[in-house]
Amino acid sequence: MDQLAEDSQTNLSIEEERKVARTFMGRIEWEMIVVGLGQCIVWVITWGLVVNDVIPLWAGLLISTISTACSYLPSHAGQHGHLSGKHKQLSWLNTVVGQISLIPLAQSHHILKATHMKHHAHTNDPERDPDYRHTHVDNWFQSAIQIQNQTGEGGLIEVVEKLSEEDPKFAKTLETGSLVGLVFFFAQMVVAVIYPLETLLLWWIPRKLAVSYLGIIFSHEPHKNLPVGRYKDSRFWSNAMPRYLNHSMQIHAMHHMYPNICHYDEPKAIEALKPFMVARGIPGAEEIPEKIKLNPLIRAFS
Amino acid sequence: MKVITLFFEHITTWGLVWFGLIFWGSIFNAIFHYFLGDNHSLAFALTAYLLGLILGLLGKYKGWSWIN
Repeated sequence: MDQLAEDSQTNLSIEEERKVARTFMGRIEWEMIVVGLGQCIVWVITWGLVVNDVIPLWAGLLISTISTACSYLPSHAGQHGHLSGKHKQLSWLNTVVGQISLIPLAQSHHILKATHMKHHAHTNDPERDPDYRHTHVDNWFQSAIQIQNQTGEGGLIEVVEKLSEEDPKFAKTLETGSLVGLVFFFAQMVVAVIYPLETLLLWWIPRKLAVSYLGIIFSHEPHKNLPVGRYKDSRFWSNAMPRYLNHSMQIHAMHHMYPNICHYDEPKAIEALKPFMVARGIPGAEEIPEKIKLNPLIRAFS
Repeated sequence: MKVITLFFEHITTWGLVWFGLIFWGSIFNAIFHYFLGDNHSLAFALTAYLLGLILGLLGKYKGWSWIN
């Protein structure tokens, strides 16, 4: 690995870039399996503790909001096949863990995977990027609001219709996923009849807060005001908060450069690929510190 | 098969209204009970579910998908 990194100092070709990147691909991202199942278990236990009056509802709201904020990233890892790595016989892990992880968000893994793949294929394209409307806005507040209404009028529907016409496989995947969406739709109504205030404060409000957080931190900050194109569509950024409190989305540009690299391996991959990132002109790449630790990006970016 | 298709079409068109009535109606009803005491008056329950239904209709006709 060190030799490869040394060679890459002089050879900045695409082939060399891919050779370095490949050394970080293929492992099972067990950390995401733990987070995915763990946060869902915490969410279920919180429900149990609140319903049985062991902890107050406000404490449940706090715990549930934090755990729900952690529910998307394991599904995202599953969408990219990180949960099975190069082991094709374990590919079921991507779907199973990905879907379990999304229970607090009441979302379908299939739908999120289909739309996320289109986001990668058409990042920042106003007509084809499903994330465009909550990404390219003026501030955090607009992003937080836009993502809540993305299935409403003038939102994601037009983009989805266009993508469905162009790609029947995409349309079929959405149809499959909508069944899961329907299960969540009815589940919420049934649970609300039995435990109304608990459903509001342990499920509905936490997932709304988590979705707004995702819109701001996962979409708006890494992609705002950037054009279409590989190496141009994502940036390195910082909001002066510790990297782990933002799910490391400050280094999301690495994910768009090589989506097959696991989330937890991105810091090491960035260190190795920094010369290529600078050469390709990725926004913010010149400011990347030599070592990416807990939060070195605070001083480096604004 | 036709029943399932009709069901899906109905939910696609009227899903938000049902969600408003059942989900938000139940929540408004619980909020009334919380703030007004354990008064199991039919009027309170009807008002709560009517508010839920109105929110659902507003959701459908104003495109407020966030209520779901």
